[in-house]
Amino acid sequence: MNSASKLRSPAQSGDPCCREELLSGWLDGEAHPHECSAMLDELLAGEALRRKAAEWSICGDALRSHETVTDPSPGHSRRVCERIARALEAEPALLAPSALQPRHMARRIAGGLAIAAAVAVLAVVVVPQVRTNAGQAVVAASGGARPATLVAGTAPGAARARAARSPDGEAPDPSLDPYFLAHGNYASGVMPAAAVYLRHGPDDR
Amino acid sequence: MKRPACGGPAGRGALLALACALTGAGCAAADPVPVPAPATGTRDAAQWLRTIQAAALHQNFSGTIVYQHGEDMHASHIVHSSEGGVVRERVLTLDGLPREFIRVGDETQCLYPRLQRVVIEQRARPVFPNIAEPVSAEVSSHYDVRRVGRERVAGSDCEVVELIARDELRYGYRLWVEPASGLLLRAQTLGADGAAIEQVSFTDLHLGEAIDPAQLRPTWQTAGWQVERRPSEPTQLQTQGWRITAPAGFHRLAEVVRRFLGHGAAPAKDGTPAPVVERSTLQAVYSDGLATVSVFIDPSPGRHGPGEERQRRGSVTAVMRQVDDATVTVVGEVPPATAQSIADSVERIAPAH
Repeated sequence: MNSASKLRSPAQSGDPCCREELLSGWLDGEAHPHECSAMLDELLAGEALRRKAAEWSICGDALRSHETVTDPSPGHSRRVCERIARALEAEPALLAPSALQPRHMARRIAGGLAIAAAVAVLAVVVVPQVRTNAGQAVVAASGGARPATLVAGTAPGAARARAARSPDGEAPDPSLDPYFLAHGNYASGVMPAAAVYLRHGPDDR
Repeated sequence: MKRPACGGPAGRGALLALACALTGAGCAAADPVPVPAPATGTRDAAQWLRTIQAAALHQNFSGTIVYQHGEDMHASHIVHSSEGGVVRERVLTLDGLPREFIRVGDETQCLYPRLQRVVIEQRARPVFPNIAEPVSAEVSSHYDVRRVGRERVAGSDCEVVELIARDELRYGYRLWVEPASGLLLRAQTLGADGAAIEQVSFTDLHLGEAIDPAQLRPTWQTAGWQVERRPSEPTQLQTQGWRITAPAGFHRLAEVVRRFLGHGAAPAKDGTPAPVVERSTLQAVYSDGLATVSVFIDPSPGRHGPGEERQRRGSVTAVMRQVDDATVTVVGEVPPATAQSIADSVERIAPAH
């Protein structure tokens, strides 16, 4: 998204847009080590930025792999597809330049028309494909993997991650948390190793 | 994914590992301890898992990891180093409540800044991209391996393999393995229909680079925080008067007594919660090599009455039921029917001496 040379310390920028630019670079692995450290501080301090980091991470992952995970709750795929569609609609198609010098006007108009044409082609070709994929919510994994029912991640600013819920839509029973935690101490296998990322902790309540 | 230049020592190591992978020969990777690289030939489930395990232990890496189940998603940052045979690791949550897990060797400190509490675990639990320990050859008798193809994850081409369960007692898995290092970059749990139930994945990765020690230090100063240790004592269920019949392929890993802090009895009739007390709970752990199930036996009636209760979080199922005057809770990454059958098998017996 951004080159490392463009990155500044988050503390140097109070501008939300610039902070998001820095976050974008950080998520792309283009930040310098000192910028990583500063960005982590920013993430610790700001819930909104943390939320955005999570959304962008999963969104980028979903766009790269065309695959995320099924939620068996009714209407889940439709809700996520709607969120993606809303985010795409909210994206500005073309930003107008603010002040153009007259002598450069003709050249820039020509260039702008070319860009606009390219954007139009992309809008016709790419966006419907994205919407189709999201709308179908089923994409075959590449390389012959079994088709998986998919739920795309959210586009930036489109929606928030929700609290964990059981498949029937009920909120988790916190009295079971100690058992999930204790199980994680001894669990072995592929997904048990992800338990640390599941956020079961004594400070849940 | 960021990698060191091929001209550097780590780069040469990666090339060597790749060459070994292509020829199928064993070799040492760039880092101090040899990492078996997955061959392009036929490998069974145990061999794949051992490769993944070795890479996760002996490689240096850092990156962002996203766990997802339905609309529930969490991002974390991980820094992992292996220097002189000592594993050091720092995992920091990036959303939700701030938490941090600092591992040095076999000890893990869990930092909960909201509670200003440090929980120390003497048995380091494997953290993704690591998996089980140890991996026995038995796992290959419960899962078939299917090579799916190649796919990019976190900017790196990965070998995609599926571990397909041979019966309905367990879930299957789809794994994305970086071929040069053997590192697991993404994993999905698969239901009986082959659809993904949950996944955990790198979204960016720095592999094989030197780790600055400052990246492994805790974010918070913990002086003055409450320190809690989670001890457990080995025991035998039979001497405690209990018997459990595990499903086919599951063998016993451990039987321990744990100390829990919690409400020791049902609330009073006026709704006043029972006082928080320390209570002892039996925990028996069973595994088929990939999936693990814990059975907890609390020697006191539960607060949920005599009925049964079920809950699922990702691929983990919990089933709770009363057996005599005790509460039995089964928790494991198995289908609900498997957890239920284990809960149903728990029975009181005369204590063996």
